[in-house]
Amino acid sequence: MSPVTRIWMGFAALGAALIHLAVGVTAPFPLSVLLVGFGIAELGWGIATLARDRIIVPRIIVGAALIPVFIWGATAALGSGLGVTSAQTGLPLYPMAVASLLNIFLAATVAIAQRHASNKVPAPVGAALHGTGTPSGWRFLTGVVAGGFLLSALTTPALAATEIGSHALPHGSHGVTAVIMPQPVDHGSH
Amino acid sequence: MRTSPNRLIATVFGAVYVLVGLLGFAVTGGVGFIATQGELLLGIFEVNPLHNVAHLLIGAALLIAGLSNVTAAKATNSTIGAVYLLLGIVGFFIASTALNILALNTADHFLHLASAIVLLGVGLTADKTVRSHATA
Repeated sequence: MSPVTRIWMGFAALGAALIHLAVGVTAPFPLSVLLVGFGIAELGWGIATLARDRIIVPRIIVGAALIPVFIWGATAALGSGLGVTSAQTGLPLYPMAVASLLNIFLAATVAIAQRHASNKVPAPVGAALHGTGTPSGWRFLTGVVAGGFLLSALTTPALAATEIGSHALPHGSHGVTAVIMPQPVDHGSH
Repeated sequence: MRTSPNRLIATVFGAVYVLVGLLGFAVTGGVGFIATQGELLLGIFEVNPLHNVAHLLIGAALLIAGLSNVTAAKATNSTIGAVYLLLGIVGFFIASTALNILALNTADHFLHLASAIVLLGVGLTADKTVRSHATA
């Protein structure tokens, strides 16, 4: 697996962690515990994956990364059956969709890497998921910067769409700078 | 410097942050030092004077580290990346409170999160074989 792919996986885990933490804080009790727990786990896994030259616990990640997606899917399906909107379930649509996209990317990438590893010469699974030497060069930097900005472009609006994020725009800066109305110049002449 | 991703990223991000810090003072003339509502830089990023000072300090730290050696650049990138990630988490919780002394808005969060991700990514992954005396 190339260093850039591994870094993107770490980024995806960090993005999903931020969204799950932001949604989990205001979600109803059982969902809150689950989402905050997954957020903390994703944060730790993302940083560990960046810090080490290999994917940590790849076999667990393939299944575990999909659990929040199933939780959201089950809650949404149950909610729609009962006529409850996604916002009322405590799991807003857009943030959970972005987090699920990141989780699916994680699970799919690890699964593909494992498949490639099993097709090669017999070796420990983790070894085939190691990075290929010290990353360097413009290609690496371009990949990292592009990944960072892409993830931020996905994650920031998702965080802003959470209940906690809706308070993040201070008064008077909701995308409009200022509208200055022209004042009458000379009142005295009337 | 060309062979070290950490030095390159630290130097580029450092220069950008110093520039952003200096430009910020051009729009925050009448704003209180820790006002929770600042002025918009480039029409998007909300800043106050404390925010400008923070940009200048972070930019200077990154620039100096990037121009010094790989070890300093790697440590500075990782540290500032972690702090920005923390700010990305905490910032959302304090944005509408009096604790928002940096006058953060959503555009700020985007820039901080992107910076955190890139700095942390490069700091934790690149230049792992460098020894403490290396100056590649």
